[in-house]
Amino acid sequence: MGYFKLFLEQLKYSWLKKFSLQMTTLLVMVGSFLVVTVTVLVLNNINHIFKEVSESFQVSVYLTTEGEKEEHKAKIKTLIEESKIFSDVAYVSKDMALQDFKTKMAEQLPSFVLEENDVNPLPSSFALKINEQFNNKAGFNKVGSFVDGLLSVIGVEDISYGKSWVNKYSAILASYNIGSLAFILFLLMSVFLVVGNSIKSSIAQRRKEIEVLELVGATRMYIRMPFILEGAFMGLISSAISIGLTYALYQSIVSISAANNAESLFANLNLQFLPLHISLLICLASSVLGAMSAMLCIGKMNTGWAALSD
Amino acid sequence: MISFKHVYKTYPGPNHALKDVTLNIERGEFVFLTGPSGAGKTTFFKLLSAFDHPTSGEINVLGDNLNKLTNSSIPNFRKKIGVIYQDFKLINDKTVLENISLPLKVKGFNHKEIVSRANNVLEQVSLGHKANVYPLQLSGGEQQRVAIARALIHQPNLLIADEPTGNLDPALAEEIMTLLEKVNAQGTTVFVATHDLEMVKRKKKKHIEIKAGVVSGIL
Ligand SMILES: Nc1ncnc2c1ncn2[C@@H]1O[C@H](COP(=O)(O)OP(=O)(O)O)[C@@H](O)[C@H]1O
Ligand SMILES: [Mg+2]
Repeated sequence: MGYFKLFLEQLKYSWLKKFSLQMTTLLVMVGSFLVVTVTVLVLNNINHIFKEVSESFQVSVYLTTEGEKEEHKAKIKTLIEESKIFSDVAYVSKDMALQDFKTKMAEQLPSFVLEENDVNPLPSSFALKINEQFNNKAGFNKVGSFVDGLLSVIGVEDISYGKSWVNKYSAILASYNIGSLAFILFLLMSVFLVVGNSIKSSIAQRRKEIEVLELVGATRMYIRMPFILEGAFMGLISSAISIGLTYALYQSIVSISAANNAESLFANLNLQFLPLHISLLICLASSVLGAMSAMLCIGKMNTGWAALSD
Repeated sequence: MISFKHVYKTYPGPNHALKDVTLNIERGEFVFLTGPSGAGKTTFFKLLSAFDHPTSGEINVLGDNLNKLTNSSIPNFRKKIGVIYQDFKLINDKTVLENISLPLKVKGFNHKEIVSRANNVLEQVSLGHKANVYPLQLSGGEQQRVAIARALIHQPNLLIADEPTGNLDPALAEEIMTLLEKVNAQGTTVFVATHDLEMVKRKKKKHIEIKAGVVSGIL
């Protein structure tokens, strides 16, 4: 509690005496944290979207006419179910496939009408959904080898699934994740330096007072704590402001995409804001970063009688 | 109360700032430390107030062996002594009251206690009416009295003053000295460095003389 009072005094002092430096520091920090939070937000959404897409990802096992016979069909179904790779094993008959095709075509191309008496060219199939725990690289490999095996079973015509698509995107996503992390680390380092610089200036400004405090027996903690708290405060405030700004940005994107619904790039993406625990984590990490930066800058402050010896 | 045993202090360079200093000062004494500029007075007080370590030798002050003080126990030692500097060392953007409160604030006293003690000690140095004034609005003699008030507010058993009158004219210097004698009369051990030999002669107190780092006489 005593430290908190000292910290408030320190804060008042810094802002009154060096307003423009404090303001510049704060702006640079808000700018950096803004880029960090936006990056985290984008990262979070891309990962989320990717997860949703790959979750709803369907594998279709197309059957030959041979395969439509009950015995083969049952055998294939059992094989699929026993693999435990898929949830939701649904049989889609030739008629259902045609019906589906017709409705889709009607949506996209209303002028397209299929003659009733045409032969149904579509095969029947099993529509499968990949279980969630296979939504990763190792999982996809298992799915791949299972599919290869299934292809040689009598009655299976072809299997369509997005192995290459999913693999390609998960690789891109991984490198994007790493790239963003490196970028964030770089920004945090610059924040570290900026906070340190501002604390150094606070210390220089109060050099004489620190000296006097040492002379009257203040402990290191007593002298340092206000500066450390000031660093933590700068981190906390600037990251909170950045999260606020990011939220405003997010809201405006959401409302723009709501306004011109279908054409919008973001229309069907179901964007999410940073979850609360991530936001809190960012604030906490920024405070710790500010405090650590201040701690490193304080160094050795014992000047004592030095001024007297000359 | 204070004992130096064969204390040496050497800074980088050929000469000793202090050389084989051995002396004792008892509780309640008033002692002058004299010597020309560069003799080692400030060095002596630095060692005495645990701002520097001796190169060799043993120093005991108020029951603490200063050689054995750790970094974390130094603040506790300093809380037991009061120090006055030639250049006052006041904080110019704090009021007189705030300046002299620091030793008690550092000790964790509450606000009420601090204000009541501060007013008492300001009366003692005849500055009761200047509590809310800033140091730069005061004369040199008044500033030094504020510094004395700060050195006394926590009621130390030992008060050391490094050339407290060095920046003051003779009349003000006399005034400060009288104040220090008053403090001594109330039981505080007072140790004053000065190169004003005239005054030392007039006061007829214990007098330790150093020259080029060596104690050349205890009178
Ligand atoms: N920090 C230091 N580094 C090197 N030499 C010093 C230092 N402080 C004092 N000295 C030297 O030690 C000697 C004694 O200095 P000081 O104790 O300041 O003398 P006084 O206070 O009696 O004038 C002088 O020769 C001075 O130059
Ligand atoms: Mg000196």
